[in-house]
Amino acid sequence: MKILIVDDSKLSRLTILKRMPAAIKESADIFQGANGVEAIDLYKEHRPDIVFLDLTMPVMDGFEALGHIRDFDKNSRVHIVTADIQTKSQEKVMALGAVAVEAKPIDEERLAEIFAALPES
Amino acid sequence: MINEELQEVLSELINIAFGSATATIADLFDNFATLHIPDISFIALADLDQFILKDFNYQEIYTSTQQFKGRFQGEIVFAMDKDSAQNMQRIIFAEDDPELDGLQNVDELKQSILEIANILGSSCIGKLAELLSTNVTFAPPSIEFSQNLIKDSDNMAYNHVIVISTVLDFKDMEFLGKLFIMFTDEMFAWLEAALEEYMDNL
Repeated sequence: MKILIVDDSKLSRLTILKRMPAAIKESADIFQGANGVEAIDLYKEHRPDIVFLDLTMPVMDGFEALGHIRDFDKNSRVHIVTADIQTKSQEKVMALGAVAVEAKPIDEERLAEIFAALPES
Repeated sequence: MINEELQEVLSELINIAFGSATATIADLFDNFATLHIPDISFIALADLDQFILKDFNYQEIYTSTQQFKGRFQGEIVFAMDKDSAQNMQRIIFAEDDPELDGLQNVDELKQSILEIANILGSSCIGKLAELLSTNVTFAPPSIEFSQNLIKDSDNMAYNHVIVISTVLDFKDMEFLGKLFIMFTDEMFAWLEAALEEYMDNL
């Protein structure tokens, strides 16, 4: 499995890494980016099975990056992990094709659910 | 001063807390706010007045203050310039008073600032406290129309100030607000320990 985590905060990336199920962490190829441009580049290079994407980032925000990723791959599975929990932000990213919006900080149970719901590759 | 790693942890926790506070405001006014990455800095209380005056380009500013108490305690100061205050007044009272013209109604202006300061401050600090596994209670906020934020800083118990600078960028208007969290040496030590514990429990 390939996992892409994109957040300008090292702590937020670390939170996802530390809280994801151990079996997944040990077996997956995990890639990390710090802004929307890196998200797009890493997505195109590695075609991850799942993406955890922040919204408020420098260089390019997560809204724009999500749009580009969805244009590139309609089957992409992008979970937005964000402090921006506005209803309108959630509506916007869902309209762009995100799988779900996760409020920061994401917990272990939710991460386990997310990975359990992934289709077999 | 806390080390770089803990500063980064605190910045991200404040980022999360501020996002939650902004969302509360945006949803309340059925508006959409573009969140910007808040700039977090630390200054000594004695430097606060000059910091604010310079940062607001020596314009007239409005400030509200609100104490919070609990295991984590201190005082929140929210500052905004006149344009921002007017913009916020329009957002809050536009439906009731579409002909609203600037600062004519001082009561409305005060209410607007207090409303925003109360929501922003209590949501932000409340969320930060929750992330640090504690809880706080809030005193009612009060408002000052003043250039002199800290009138008597020598007599205040606080030593440290965390500055959270951001633009709340609503769909049709923006306002620049600064949130200052002031606390004592003792609280600063508690905060350091709480941040370390947060990292250990990650």
